Amino acid sequence: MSLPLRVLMLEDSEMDAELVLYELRRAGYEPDWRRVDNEADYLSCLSTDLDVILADYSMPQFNALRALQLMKERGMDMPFIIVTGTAGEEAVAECMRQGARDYLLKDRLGRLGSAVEHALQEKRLNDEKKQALNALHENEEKYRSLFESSPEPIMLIGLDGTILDCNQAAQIIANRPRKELIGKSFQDLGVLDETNMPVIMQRFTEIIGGKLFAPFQIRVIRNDNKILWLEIHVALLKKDDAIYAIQVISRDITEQKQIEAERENLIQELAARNAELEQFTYTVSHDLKSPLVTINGYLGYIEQDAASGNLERLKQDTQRIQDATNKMHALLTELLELSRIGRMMNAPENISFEEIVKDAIDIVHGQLEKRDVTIQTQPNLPIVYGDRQRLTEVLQNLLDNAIKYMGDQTNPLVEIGQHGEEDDKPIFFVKDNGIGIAPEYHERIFGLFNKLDPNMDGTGIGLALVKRIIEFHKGSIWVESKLGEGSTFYFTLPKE
Amino acid sequence: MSMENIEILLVEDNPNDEELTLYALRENNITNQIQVARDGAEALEYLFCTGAFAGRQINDPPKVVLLDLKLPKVDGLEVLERIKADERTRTIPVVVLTSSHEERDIVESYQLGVNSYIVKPVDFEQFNEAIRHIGLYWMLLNKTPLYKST
Repeated sequence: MSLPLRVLMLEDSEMDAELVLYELRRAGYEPDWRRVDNEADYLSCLSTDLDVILADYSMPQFNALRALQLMKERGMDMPFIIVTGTAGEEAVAECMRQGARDYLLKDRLGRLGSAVEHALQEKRLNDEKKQALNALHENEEKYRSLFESSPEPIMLIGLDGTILDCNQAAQIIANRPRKELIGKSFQDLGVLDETNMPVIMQRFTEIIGGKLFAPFQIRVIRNDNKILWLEIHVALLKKDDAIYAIQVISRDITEQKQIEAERENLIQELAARNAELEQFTYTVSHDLKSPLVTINGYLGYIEQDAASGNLERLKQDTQRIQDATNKMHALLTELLELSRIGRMMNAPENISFEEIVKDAIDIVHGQLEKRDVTIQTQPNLPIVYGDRQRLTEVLQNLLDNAIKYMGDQTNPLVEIGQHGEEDDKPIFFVKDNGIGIAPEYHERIFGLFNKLDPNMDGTGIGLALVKRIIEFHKGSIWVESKLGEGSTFYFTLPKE
Repeated sequence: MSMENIEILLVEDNPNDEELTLYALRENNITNQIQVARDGAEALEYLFCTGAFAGRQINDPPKVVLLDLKLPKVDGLEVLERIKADERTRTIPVVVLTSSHEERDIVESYQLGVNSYIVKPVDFEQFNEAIRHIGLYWMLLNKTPLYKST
């Protein structure tokens, strides 16, 4: 069976060409051939479709060295074999240097078959090698491009902790250029939270030991003191089955963490609100029901009073019903007021705290006179930012309480002023010299319907209302007091 | 036997409701000695013979405590807890008498060892009936162990 072979012969002698063809056929090839003896013809036949070029070294108008150069210039690499009658060693050696595969003497053409076969095989191997190299190069390009353009920060870290490579995103997240990263130990980056370092080292040991593959999260403090949360994905890089580096992808999950934290806070706030609402409903249902029991009870007795003609008791019982309905009315009014906090507010404005105090004093003026209470207000109180009407209610309620719980004090005195700041908010106080509150009740007094003295009139909503208004203004309220030594209510409000 | 010989301790902060309960008790011929405490702290002082009641004898307990839950200073559930947690007062029958029919109040009261939990009926006749039953049962029928000094 003959192998087809596309051959270009550079040969001026037809006879020599016949000899060559004869040898090729003898070696089992079926040559498809062209013979040229000048540069122009050579160039027109030169094509990568050729399997082999067989060139006489010297022809009258052309030579092998020139042909070889022309082929190279065109970026071609076909097997090129010199077939020559005169063996000028220098010339042959030059041809071999220029890329000829082999050379044969015309009087020893018996070796032609094997020389062609050899050259073809070599060409095949070369082509394969070139392809493989091309593919490798292409892959390398792909990897490099992927590595550099990845939005996720990637670092290659050697087993001794040295940073071997890093991409663009890694430089951004580390807030350092490549030259300050490569060759440095990742421990010296100064971007890692030191308290986290033992954990990180432990993780890397586990990774190298093949015990950890799942991503883990770490908190880092960067050189600009920014706190970042990173999710670390690792892969081991191996050469001949031995690990030589760790590929670390650090996803920035700071924002995600913040959102999670915010969500957690919201859930907690919501739960607290819910509990508050539940408590509110519970208290309301209990306290609103109470007067109904009273009213119905006395209505029953009024019937008896009327039947027995006991007018004295009838009058008493009617009064009691009156009291209960009044109480219910007061409860409903104040509950409505309480429910309006946060819902129906006036636009916040800058108000002088002294103005608020003055407004509140005007409202409780009658009670103050009746009990002969002296009020001392510090001068130059700061300007606050809030709902004027609601803040007046705060002062009014606090004054109201101070007067109500004055006891048998012969020189009733209420002092109003500022006592330093907390979190950049002025702390105001309303101080009285009344009966005071035992420490165990300091929390309870701000609860809804919690009254300390059943004999005092009022619904037990006042301080709950005050607390709500203050908290709506992002402030806080607390009391300092001892039984028999007066009370001081402190509260904070935002500045202008 | 001491002079006062209190048989019912009524813990109720609202004077009108107190009067209403007293009416109902009298109406049903329960005319035992009644002590009224206006808040939880006063009730505890009375039962544990402290403060204003330091002169009382702890081994002379009331036959029954009628306890409202919503009270100033110390609330009803805490009063109940304190009574039932102390060996000296544990055997005193406590009847919660309240307008709250909240499940959690009922459950917690029974967990704390209340002897009876009565929701004040809004209806006058029912209220009267409830007070009559409380009086009859706890004052006349129920027997508690005699107090033993330890």
